Amino acid sequence: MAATTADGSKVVGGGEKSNVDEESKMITLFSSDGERFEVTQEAAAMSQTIHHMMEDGCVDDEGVHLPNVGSSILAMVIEYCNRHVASPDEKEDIRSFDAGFVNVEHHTLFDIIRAANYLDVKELMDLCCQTVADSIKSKSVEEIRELFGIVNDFTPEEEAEIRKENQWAFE
Amino acid sequence: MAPGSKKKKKGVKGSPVDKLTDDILADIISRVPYKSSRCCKCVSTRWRDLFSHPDHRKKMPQSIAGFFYEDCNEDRFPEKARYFINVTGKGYRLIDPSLSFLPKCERLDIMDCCNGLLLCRCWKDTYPETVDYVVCNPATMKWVVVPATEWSSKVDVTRLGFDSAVSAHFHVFEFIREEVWGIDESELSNYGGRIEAVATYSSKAGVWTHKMVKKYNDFAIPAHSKGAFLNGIMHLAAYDDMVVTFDVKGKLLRFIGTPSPPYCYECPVNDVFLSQGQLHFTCSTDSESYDIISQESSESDSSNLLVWVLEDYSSGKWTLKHTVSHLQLFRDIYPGYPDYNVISFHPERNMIFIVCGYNNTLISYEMDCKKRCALRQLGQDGHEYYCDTKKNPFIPYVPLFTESLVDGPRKPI
Repeated sequence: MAATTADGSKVVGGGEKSNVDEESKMITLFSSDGERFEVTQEAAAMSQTIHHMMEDGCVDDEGVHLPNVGSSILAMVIEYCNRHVASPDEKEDIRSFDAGFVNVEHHTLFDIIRAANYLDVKELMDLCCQTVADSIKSKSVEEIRELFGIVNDFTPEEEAEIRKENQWAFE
Repeated sequence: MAPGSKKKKKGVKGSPVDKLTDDILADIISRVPYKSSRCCKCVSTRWRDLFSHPDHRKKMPQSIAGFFYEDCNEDRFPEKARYFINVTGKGYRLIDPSLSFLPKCERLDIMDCCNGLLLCRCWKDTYPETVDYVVCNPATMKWVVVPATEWSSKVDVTRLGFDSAVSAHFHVFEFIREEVWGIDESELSNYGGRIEAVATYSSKAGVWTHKMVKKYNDFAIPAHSKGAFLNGIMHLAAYDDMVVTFDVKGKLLRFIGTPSPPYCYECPVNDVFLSQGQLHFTCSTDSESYDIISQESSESDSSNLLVWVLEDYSSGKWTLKHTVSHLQLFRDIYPGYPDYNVISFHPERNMIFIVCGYNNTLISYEMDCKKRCALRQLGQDGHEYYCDTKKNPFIPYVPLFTESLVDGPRKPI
């Protein structure tokens, strides 16, 4: 749940921890469109990119600028990280959270994948890539194209050759 | 069918997939099953090209790439030679059969291959001869030494159990005959070649343990019998029409009877194979016997190859999956019914590989469309050395490009 503080920045709450807790130091992230996000260091460290920056002492008081991630996507990635550090042991809850999390349209899902790739959040990459893979695995060639709006750009000869080579896989 | 033009149609939004890099798209495709990856290959030129791109092709689901085998020619130097033949029968061999990345041995025998790893027996230049095992990955050229047991130089059936989808660790099995175990000649059982004990090595534990085979569990395993490692259980075809199964501790779990034609004392033992997650078995029937199994009497001179699948693993009941006449298998290659050997099943398809006749012709046969392809003639060498009772072991190989194997320091021999 996001609450707007006095200075206009969004604070995206991290689970049950209160901000008064000394151990959960906050770190500021800036999206590409300049929006400001406060997250716990623990949640931010799920991103290997940010984690390495913190370790190398590259994070100053101002925070981390993420020019490659827009605010709406960054908010979602933060939501994911917060949820996963909050209660990592409640497998059932996390599973159902994850299922709801990836239930978005492809444009959004792929934006999340790109952000997770840039931020190097392995668990999120695995979740999203596996989700896409699962949606592909039972489909025919035409169905895959239709699902993603992919144009068939084979020449007739190329198409014939590749279909012949893989005919057995078309059920 | 779209024409070759790459211009985008006006008003058509690009595919969301366009925003994914090749790395990411390859990551996604690498997670689908092999069969589905074949459909992916046909989606567009971009998807197709990932499969041949040097950075990405190794991530893609792999299947059988070819076979290792040896032949023997006394007139040649060297007398014994090792080959790798691609599964298509064509093209430059995917793997260098010399395995020259391995430490030098006096002599190297490939004993088994399981899900991308090879189990080799490395004879050292000592007197008397001693061995070590080497488990290696030809695709990454990584290897590790497995120390020998006191029986290693004398066992003829040793197999490898490995499944990277389950664990990065592997298991080596040694099946030790009574004579090798050291049972006194006068005490030997009446069951010739009886396996007395099974020794197993776990790469996780780093040690060998062994289990004795309980009394009255009599079985013997032909040297060529292929291992099928499924769900952590090693399956091997044994003499007397059965498959024996063991867990990774070497415990004998059960005997599964195989459907074999009656009255065939001189027949070599047919192997059991893994395909599409199930155990398969083949046997042949000839025209002269009433075919009890398929409940048909042959009216013409047709004899058949029967393909069985163990659909119901727990009951041990085999289902007849396919029948093909020898005539159809060997027409235009050999007249009549040559000697042949089913060497492998395709791990993902309804396809078998056979080596047949005096020219050792490698053929593939696809069951769904009943299509037979003659792939290559492997040559006549080795017929005296390998015969019915001592089959030439063709070892199927599926590459494993991921680095999960054999972590840990290389140990010199």
